[in-house]
Amino acid sequence: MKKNLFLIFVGIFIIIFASIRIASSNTIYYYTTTEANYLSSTSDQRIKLGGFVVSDSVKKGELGATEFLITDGNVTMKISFDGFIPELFQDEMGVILDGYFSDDIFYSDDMLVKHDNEYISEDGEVYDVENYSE
Amino acid sequence: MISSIGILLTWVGSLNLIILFFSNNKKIFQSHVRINLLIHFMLFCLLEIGLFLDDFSIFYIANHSAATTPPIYKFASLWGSLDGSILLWNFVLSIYFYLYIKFYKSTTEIYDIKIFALIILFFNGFTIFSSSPFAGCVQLASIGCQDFTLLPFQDLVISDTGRGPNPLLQNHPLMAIHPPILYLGYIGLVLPFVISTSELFNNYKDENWIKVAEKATYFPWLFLTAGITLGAAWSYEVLGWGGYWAWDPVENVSFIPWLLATAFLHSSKTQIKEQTLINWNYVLSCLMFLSVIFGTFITRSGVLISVHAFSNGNIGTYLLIGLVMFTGLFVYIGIKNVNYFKSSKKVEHLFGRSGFFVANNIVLSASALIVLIGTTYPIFYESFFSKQLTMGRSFYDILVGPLLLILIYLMVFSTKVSKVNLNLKDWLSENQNQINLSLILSIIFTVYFNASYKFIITIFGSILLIIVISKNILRRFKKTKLQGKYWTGQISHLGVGIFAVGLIMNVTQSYSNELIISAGDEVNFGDKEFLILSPFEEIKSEKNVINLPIKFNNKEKYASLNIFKNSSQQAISSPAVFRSIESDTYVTIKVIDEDKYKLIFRENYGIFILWLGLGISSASFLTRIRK
Repeated sequence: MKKNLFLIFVGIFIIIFASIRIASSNTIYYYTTTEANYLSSTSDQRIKLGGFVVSDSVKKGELGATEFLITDGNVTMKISFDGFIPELFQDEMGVILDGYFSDDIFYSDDMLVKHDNEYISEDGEVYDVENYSE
Repeated sequence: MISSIGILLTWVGSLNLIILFFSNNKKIFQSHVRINLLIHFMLFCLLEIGLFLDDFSIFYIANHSAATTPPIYKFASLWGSLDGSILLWNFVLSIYFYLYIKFYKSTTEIYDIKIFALIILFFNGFTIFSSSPFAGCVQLASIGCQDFTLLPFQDLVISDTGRGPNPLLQNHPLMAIHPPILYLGYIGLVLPFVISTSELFNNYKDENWIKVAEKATYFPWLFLTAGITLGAAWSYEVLGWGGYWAWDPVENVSFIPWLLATAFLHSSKTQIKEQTLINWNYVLSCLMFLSVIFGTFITRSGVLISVHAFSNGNIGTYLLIGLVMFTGLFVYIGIKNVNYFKSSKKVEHLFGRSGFFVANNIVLSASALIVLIGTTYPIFYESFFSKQLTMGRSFYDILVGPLLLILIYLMVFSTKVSKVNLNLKDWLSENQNQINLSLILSIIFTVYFNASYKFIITIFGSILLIIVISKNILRRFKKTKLQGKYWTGQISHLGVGIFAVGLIMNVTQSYSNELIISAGDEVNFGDKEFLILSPFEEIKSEKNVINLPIKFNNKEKYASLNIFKNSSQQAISSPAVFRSIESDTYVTIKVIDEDKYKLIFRENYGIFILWLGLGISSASFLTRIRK
């Protein structure tokens, strides 16, 4: 009985150890533009990059791609986005992009629009989205 | 009106359960259980009536349904968001309470009734104190409702139009089937928990509890399998996510109880036959239900971001209290029975039947643990290093993949294993022809698909499993009908073998490409040629649909983009799927840029074989029906 219990704990320990080792190299991190600036710009590792869309920077690129700049206030980065653009997408909006860097341009094909904590509806009513309960 | 009746009825229901919990009268409990079921059935109907009458004075209906919502999605809106899904949760619990009394109750004691009543009371409590699907609206938002009251007979305000359900949830009729079936499985795992804790509560009475617990786990397990499969089919066929399984946290927390239940269905057999593993079976029988509550906690409390997670401020804490309470009960009863657990016999033959069951349990529990770690790792990481991350699917592929391979070989040898050790020599000579045949087939497969050595090991095991079991079934079927638990097992294993072949083909062979086209183009993908016709727009009351007809081999299918009105969510792409036994061609619209379309073409291998395997596994329950 005690021996079995010991074996079970050893087993659990091995699994946790192996999982965490493997997890550390198989996770997708979220970066702000400042944090991403320290990454090597040529690594083709997929990351999630968050920031705010710079005003008047959105323009059409080649073959249906959309190009724009995002910033976290310190560092601005060039994005080439090639995927479905959510209806809410507009200047100064927070976005999280899934993609990789190549030649200092961040190529992404998946966008999550991050609502501000305050969401202003069409009739001007303001909701606090984060503390909004349904 | 509906709001007040609903709230009052919830109170009456809870009062009924409180009486049941405190009463020691063994004669009356049956009628209380029936009343409980009736009340929850009425609550269910009442909310449906509210949904169909567009009663926008109810907070839940104003925010999760709309006058323009088609009837089937109005019906399904009941479980479209948190408050309503708790109503369904309680209804399903009540159904199981009733079924338990009718089919599984074996003791004359009433601890089981008390534990069951406590569990339902606990979840009822949430709808009384925190948020109820019947809560009335007291303050309007620009669309829908902003604030609610949990008391009946208040002055309510009525929203003139509802917000409508989440677009993802009103895109396919499967919404009306997948959640209830999944709930029937997921929540049904309360049965083994109640059975094992109550039977061991007042010290151990007879050896019967494990048989009852095993019987009671089987049907919830079957529903859970079906529910997970339907969810996978939905995400593949409708949502255009491209895959059937994404290792999404909400998928994971339904998979963990499934793995544990599968383990329990195997390990319970050794206790029934040989009185071994008693302690382990007690742990498993409770862990299934505890993992259900834990899973609900991490996906519904808002600690995780996921496609499915609808969060609410209070439910997290509430579920955590429940988790602590039920875990406490489990530990307390476990400690109380230490002496009984010591009577458990040792597994003597490591390569005999029990040994195989032990190996199976190690693999399945290890998988459950890995999935658990993968799901919770981002939470721990964020709280220690304040950095957000998501787990890549390669984590699961690397860790769970090899375990599936071990399971396949365990299943191969367990087709015929005696109580004492397996005689490998006899087994090999008996199955010589099947082994040779599988070897030839797997080499043909490998050459045909030009695949790697990893592929050949797995495909060989899977084909051998299919052939060996098929031969046994055919031989037996000539003489008599397939009845009894042995054949239930064998047929599900046959399904798993077929499933594994499909899975390997899918994982190793599928490929995809992005193409930019305009109407009238001919497109080559793989060795197939597709014709793109002119798109047209469909305008419905709740959404606009852009359909792009694609023609292949005289078959015409639509790849479409659904744009929902009144919704801030992004558009949903529905795929055009051209099926064949070997592979599906799966086309989704990615971007529309004036008259240019960017399409994703995927060649998905083995999908049909995958579904076939799952279908056969599920059909294995037919052998369990006695005449």
